[in-house]
Amino acid sequence: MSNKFEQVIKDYGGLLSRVASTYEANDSVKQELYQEICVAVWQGLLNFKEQASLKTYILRIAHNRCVTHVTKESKLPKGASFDDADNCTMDEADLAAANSIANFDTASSIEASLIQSQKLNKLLTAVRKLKLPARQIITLSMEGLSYQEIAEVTGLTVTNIGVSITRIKKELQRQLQDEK
Amino acid sequence: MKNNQSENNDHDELGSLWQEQTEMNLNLSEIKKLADSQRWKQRFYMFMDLLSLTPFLLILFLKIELSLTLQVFIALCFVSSIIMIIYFVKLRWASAFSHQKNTEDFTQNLLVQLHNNARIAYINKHSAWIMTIAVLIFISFNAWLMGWDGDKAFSSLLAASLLSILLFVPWYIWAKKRQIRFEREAQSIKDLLSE
Repeated sequence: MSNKFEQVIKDYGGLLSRVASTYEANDSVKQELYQEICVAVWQGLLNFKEQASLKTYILRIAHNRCVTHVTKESKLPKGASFDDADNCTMDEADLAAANSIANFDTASSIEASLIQSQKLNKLLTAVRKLKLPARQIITLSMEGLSYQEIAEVTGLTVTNIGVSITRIKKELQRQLQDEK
Repeated sequence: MKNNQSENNDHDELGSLWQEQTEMNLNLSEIKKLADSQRWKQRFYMFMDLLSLTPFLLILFLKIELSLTLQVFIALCFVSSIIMIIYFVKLRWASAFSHQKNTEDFTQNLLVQLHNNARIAYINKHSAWIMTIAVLIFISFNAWLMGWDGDKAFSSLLAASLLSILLFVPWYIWAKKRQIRFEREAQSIKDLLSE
């Protein structure tokens, strides 16, 4: 079991980490949420029957864990958790996001990284503003899942997903353009 | 055709930007410890649920002689305990496997569960003052059956009232807080879902 879990984290750790980022902006809470997701995945692996794809199975567990997290976090006063990134200054947000961008060693690449990190930060903020179904659909799509796989995770119909992706993408692009 | 190509490019751009997030660090041994501790906690809670039946079983096996009123009272407590244990085990079972469902089903189940919990908390809240009245009626009725001794009946009623206040006021406050929490959690799911 331990080896299986380690393999899952090796293969899907980044994916699960991005699921946590979809629901939580505050760094320390995000880290906790990531840990909670991994605990849920560990427990879920005990019941995995290998009838479905492992990727969609753990994504279902991860997203459901995040929904529970959002529900529990509702007890916190507004701004204490998910809204933190929206409230902090652009410099703080950009610096935080810059740390998550690949290595840079020259002045021009620093600038490029900062621009890229600003864009990433805007994207994350825009994604977190979406309602749950839209948020799930677009992030799973950006992870490269097929419509069928997205349907397996979300429980929505393939047709609905197809229509929604185009609409959400346009909305995200519009928000990214507006903030430029 | 050009529109489609532009949409695909936008999507590729969003997708590659999305993938630029770095993976957070993870302490694997900590995860294993947490997962094990949660599993043992669940088992412990189930054990405690079952343990709540032992007083009734002890009365049954030790064949303790009780008055008819007490027998009826204990039988009622026993039946309600069994119903509650079945409900709790059902909830724990559902909670253990609910995370594997798709998000649509999961959120709907969670919503139903939160509404049920809020309803139970509401019932618990009102059961506090209902129980107080029931206890006072029971004592008065008992005193009447025994041939109403004014001073004795009054002191019994006073003691029962004080005890009820001591027990049921915190109970009422606790249940009310739970009701508010479950209602707020249900609302946060609705907010998250509503387009």
